[in-house]
Amino acid sequence: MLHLVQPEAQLLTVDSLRVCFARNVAEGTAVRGVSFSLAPGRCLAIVGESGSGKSVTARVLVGLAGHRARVHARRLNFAGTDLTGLDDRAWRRIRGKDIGFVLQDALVSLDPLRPVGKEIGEGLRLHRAIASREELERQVIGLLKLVGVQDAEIKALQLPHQLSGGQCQRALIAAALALDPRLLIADEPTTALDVTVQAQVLGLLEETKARGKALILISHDLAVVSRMADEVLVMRQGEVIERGSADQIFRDPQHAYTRQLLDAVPSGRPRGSRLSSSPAPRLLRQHGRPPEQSAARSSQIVLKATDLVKRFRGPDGILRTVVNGVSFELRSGETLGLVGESGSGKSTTARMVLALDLPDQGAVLLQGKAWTTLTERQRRARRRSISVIYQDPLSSFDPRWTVGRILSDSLLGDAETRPERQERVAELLYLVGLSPAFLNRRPLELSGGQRQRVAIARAIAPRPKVIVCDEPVSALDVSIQAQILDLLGDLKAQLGVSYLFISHDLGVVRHLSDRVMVMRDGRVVESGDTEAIFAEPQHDYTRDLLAAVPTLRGRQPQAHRD
Amino acid sequence: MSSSEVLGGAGAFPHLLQTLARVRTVPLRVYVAVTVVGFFLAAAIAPKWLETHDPLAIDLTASLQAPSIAHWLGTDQSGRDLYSRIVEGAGQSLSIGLGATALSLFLALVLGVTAGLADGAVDTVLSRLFDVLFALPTLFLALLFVAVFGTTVLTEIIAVGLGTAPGYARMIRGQVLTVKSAGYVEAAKALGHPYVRIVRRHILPNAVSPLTAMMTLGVGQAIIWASGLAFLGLGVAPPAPEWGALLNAGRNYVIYAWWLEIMPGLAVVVFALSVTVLGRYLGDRLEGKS
Amino acid sequence: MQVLFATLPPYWLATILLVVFAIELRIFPVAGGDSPIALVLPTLALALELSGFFGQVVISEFSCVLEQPFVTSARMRGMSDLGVRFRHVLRHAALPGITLSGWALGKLLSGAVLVEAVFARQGLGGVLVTATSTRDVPVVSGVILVSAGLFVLTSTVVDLAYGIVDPRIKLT
Repeated sequence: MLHLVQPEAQLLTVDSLRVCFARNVAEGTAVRGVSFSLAPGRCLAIVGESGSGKSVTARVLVGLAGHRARVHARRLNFAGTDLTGLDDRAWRRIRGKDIGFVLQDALVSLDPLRPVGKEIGEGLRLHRAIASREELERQVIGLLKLVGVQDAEIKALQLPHQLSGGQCQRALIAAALALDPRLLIADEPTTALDVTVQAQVLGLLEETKARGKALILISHDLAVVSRMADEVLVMRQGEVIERGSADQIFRDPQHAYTRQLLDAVPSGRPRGSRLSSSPAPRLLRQHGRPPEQSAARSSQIVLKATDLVKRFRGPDGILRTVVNGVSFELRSGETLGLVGESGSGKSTTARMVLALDLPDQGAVLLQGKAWTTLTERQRRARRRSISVIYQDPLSSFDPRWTVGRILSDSLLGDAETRPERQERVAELLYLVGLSPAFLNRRPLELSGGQRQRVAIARAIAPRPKVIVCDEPVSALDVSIQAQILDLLGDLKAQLGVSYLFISHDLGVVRHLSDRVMVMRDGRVVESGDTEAIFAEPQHDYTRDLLAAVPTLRGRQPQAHRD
Repeated sequence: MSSSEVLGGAGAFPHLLQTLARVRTVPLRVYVAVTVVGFFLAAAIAPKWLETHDPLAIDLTASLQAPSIAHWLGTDQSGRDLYSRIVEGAGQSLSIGLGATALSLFLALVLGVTAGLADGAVDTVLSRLFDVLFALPTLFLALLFVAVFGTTVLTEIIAVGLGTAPGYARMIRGQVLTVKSAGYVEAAKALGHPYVRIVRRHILPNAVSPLTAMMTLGVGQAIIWASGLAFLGLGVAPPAPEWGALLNAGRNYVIYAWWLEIMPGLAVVVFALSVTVLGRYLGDRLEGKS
Repeated sequence: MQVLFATLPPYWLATILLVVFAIELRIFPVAGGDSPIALVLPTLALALELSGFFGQVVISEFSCVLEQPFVTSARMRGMSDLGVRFRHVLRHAALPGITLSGWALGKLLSGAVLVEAVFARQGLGGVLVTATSTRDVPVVSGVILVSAGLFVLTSTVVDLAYGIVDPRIKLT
């Protein structure tokens, strides 16, 4: 692909960039032969999954790829400066001043012991861009206002943990913009943020671009970059798989991997369609129980929550109502999606459904019988009919145990003899698409997707009627997320379980759920059939949420009007 | 699994570090430490094989000799060979160290696990007790015990064991609390496993596994404390060639015969250092695995 | 090096210092004495051990904090490596050291008893040892109570110092 732009018009030119770590070149090469260029006022998106080399590439541009990194490039030019031979002193003059960098996860990217304003002013002070203390203060407050932080004067004096995630991310962007750099690099700037906040942060970056700054946006999520990228670089295993204008990549991807990434984005895809290329497993060999008569919803209610209320005492001693009057029913074979942003009370609701926390008011009935009102001892025998899949499977596994032991432990009371247990464990592994070779692995030796598969196997082991999925794919890369969502869909069809599916990601919820419940501040603001809610949201908050969801260019969110 | 998933984690960098960590071999200092500990263990089990002289044979013609080829570490005021005496004393010193550590860890384990598992009043009372006892200097606690019960090998072991127990108990309680709130404990509860089973299969093994390393570190510390007691003349009485007793005896001759004080001390230091190195290595290994 | 210092029993270290500096080199008095110069060796013997402990803790915390994203973040603003270490990392690394200083007092008192014996100084340690060997339990208990009081005092100071270094504390 030719880019017929005058070289002098480019702010940044990278030609054949190679980065390797450690002695072993074959294994340690993180980036091989990456080339791109960027003009002022343009946005380049680098897209790829964990380990694709996208972050390393970005760090090379500020000379911070790590002291063990060996960087080679035919050309590495920023605004007429050759970056290849810079010493640390020269790098320091460029960092912050000419190139701003926004790291992901703002909460840990700001020094927890220093006020936010100090962090923002640090760049100004270091590059001696201000004359006096008063001016520094004024500038810091100006920057905070620029990035849309309310009460900037107060926030500047607060510590990162006193601010919300979105405010921290804004502060981090403010710090990067402090010296008005010509290039801003943002590495996953919206990961871990709620959709509405994500939309605001992306809007902020868009404004920056409109002011004539060059922008490099790094993400694993194509939908996130879709909104503002002019050019897209798709990376995998250190190599550029595909490169082109955003329009071309989103409308007519050339490489199979790019298509796979695009397919994996659930938003705007028909419900029930497969997101990954992996085929549905063939019919179950014998899973003990015949698959429920029909995949269609029967009228049997398996879970019923009535007017759940939960209060927690905060560290300041104030009693807060986290869940306030939540009621719902879950029918057999049905998936109920529970959507909300962080702090909406959706996880607490899940814990009450599992009777891990007991409601202060209201009650949960499981299969028509008392559940939360029982004593733990009475409940124990019936816990087998409801199980859970967590967001972070790693912490939910005993680190010393092998996959085989984890799974056979979960069969307690179900398969009595050893051969019976072994057979069931093998069957479970097969169901979740793992080979028997995984039996002897420990959780730490598995990838994120494999861990989630084991977690799913454990959840279906006691043959439950209900599985509570608490953000089961939020920590996964898009293509792995697609595989797991497909797996959950397949299992539901085969086992006839019901899911209470909790997520902050509307695309994911929509893809899997029959009905949806939207929560905010501990209350259900809207609930109903998935298509109805997505097509005609009644509540303002639902509309805001839907509008904030990043959608892929060229793929119209179905039947969604503004 | 697609090949892209193999990396997992958050970027290529941690993955590389993991690979490097796996390739890393056992460091040299661990080999040295194993050798030293092995030597002292051999000395404790079969001192006669390693001694060059009879540790109790008095030879007044050779009193207070500096280290030489005949007497590797010199001789004491009665002409007894210091090297052989240190080898002979290893048995008693190591037993005191091991005994005290075992006692201390046993007490700590019982109290720490009780406090960690119990909620409410029991935990509050026990952890306050640990805090108060931990605040007192180890040696003071040990001295109080000696003051009450006098000086024998047994009281020395108990004194050191009691003195070091509060610190361990606090650690174990913290460990139990951490494991208790771990995701896998809740996962087991959600599966409907009985509490006793969860305690036995998850909480205890995970809370206690760092103890292996602690135990090793503890033996070194216990020997140092025990020799400290003996050094003050409050330990095992001479002529038993226990290291602390040797140190105490050497005090009077420091000005004329420095080796009498330095060499037994060196034995304590080298041994303690070696078990510390070993303990840390074990600890790191266990941490890396779990 | 810190491991070595942390393992050295203070009484033994004190003896070595005594042999080298007082007996062989004759720089400091062997024992007793009221002059400040006589305090140099005992102080050094006690300090070296503690410096070993603090060194270990601070160094491990330091290298841990250096890996944190906010350190990279500061570097990306153009801060020098040294600048980051002084302005950001040092403060974090000092925290566990401050926490430990209460415990260090106990360690110090234990060490002082032994070191006093080496240098034949008459102090609290001397009283304690004599009382123990004559099995004078009331006196031993008294000394322990005094040390407990000292501990309460120190931990108050430690808490105050911690609050200054870590402003997050005030909120919780």
